[in-house]
Amino acid sequence: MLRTVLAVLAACLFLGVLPAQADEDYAETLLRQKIWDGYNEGWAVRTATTAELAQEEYRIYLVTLYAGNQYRILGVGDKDVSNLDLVLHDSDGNTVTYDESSDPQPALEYTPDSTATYFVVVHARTLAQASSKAGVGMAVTYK
Amino acid sequence: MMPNRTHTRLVLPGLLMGALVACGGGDESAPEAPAAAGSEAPAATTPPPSLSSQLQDLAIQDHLVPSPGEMQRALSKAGIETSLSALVPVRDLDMTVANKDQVAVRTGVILADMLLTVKTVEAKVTAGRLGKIKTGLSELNAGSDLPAEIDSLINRINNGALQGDRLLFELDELSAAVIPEIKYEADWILPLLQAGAWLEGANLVSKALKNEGNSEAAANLLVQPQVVNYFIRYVDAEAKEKVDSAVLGQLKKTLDSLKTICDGGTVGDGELDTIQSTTASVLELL
Repeated sequence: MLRTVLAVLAACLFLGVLPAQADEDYAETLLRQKIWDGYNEGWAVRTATTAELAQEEYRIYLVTLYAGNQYRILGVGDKDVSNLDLVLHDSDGNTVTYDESSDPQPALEYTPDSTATYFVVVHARTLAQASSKAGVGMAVTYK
Repeated sequence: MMPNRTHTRLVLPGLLMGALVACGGGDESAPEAPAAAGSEAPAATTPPPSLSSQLQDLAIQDHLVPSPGEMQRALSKAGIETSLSALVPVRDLDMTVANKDQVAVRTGVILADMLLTVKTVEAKVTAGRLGKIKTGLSELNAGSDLPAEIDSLINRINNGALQGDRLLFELDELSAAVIPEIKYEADWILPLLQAGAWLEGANLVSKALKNEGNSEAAANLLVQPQVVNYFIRYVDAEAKEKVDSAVLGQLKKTLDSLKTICDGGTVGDGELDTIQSTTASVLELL
């Protein structure tokens, strides 16, 4: 029985047909690099987090943003993420801005007129393997 | 620096954003995108719809509270020249007191002091504050990963391997990504720690505004009703189990006072005085 299982696993590995594993470590490493790159341009990080999402799943974060500060919200996905979307909503839920890319590494920039609470939505819009989960990351940076 | 732990997942069904656009482009400053299969996502043509109140209620609140550095930046953007780092007092807080609420708030206060002063003090002062934070987190039984990571930071600061922008980055990251993970070890720590950091920042901002006789900028810098309500919800829940905690009692009074000001919406000289005195009353209790 064990031989059979090992043989099947070996065949799967050889053929590359094992289901994809969500890779939060990959998303985290990529997110860290993007945050660090921003320090060269004067950006600083106030929030960074990772999660696992299946296709069409979301994670919603509540954040307070200061009037006058310039914010850049970064999203990253692991190798299985084809399209990650970011949306910023105001405290009433109205859409403020959203990324218009089909990119696995989207970014939004926004400068609030007044200090208020906002919702950041991270949406795993498309995964390469729709039946699997993917690692995603989100950071709020400011300058 | 974001410890790989089992997270409490909040996963929402795909109901609200069927219309996110996909028109190409993206962040030109970002590093090369990883190779990803099936990257030709279908283009959407309309903006995402509003976020329903049902979904708003499910939002994760761990990242609601702004960072001390963010406060400083907003202060500068508002034209206030006083630097918060110059207002940070010298403190020698005992991080091993029996009252764990007190330890958590103290840890938050020292975190704020460290982040605000990292550019202006000698490295050994920052390393000393990190040591206090580590002691506090150890007292709070916040797991073993975090103290070990702080030890690594201290060693690298002390031997000169961590300085400049890299030091700023790693300390910001500690606050932004690593410390929020402590909720997986003990969920009551994070709000108290955040409250300590936020109250210290608010106290210093109110002092800066008073120094410059400028209360006009106060509303945008200090009125944060959602943040105050987040702390109040936590304190109310905790106070039921810890009726004799002096720290929680004073924190509740301070937060109620701040809520009254938030509900009023405007901040004049009188409100600024109240913010300064009521935040100080928590910090003095430490």
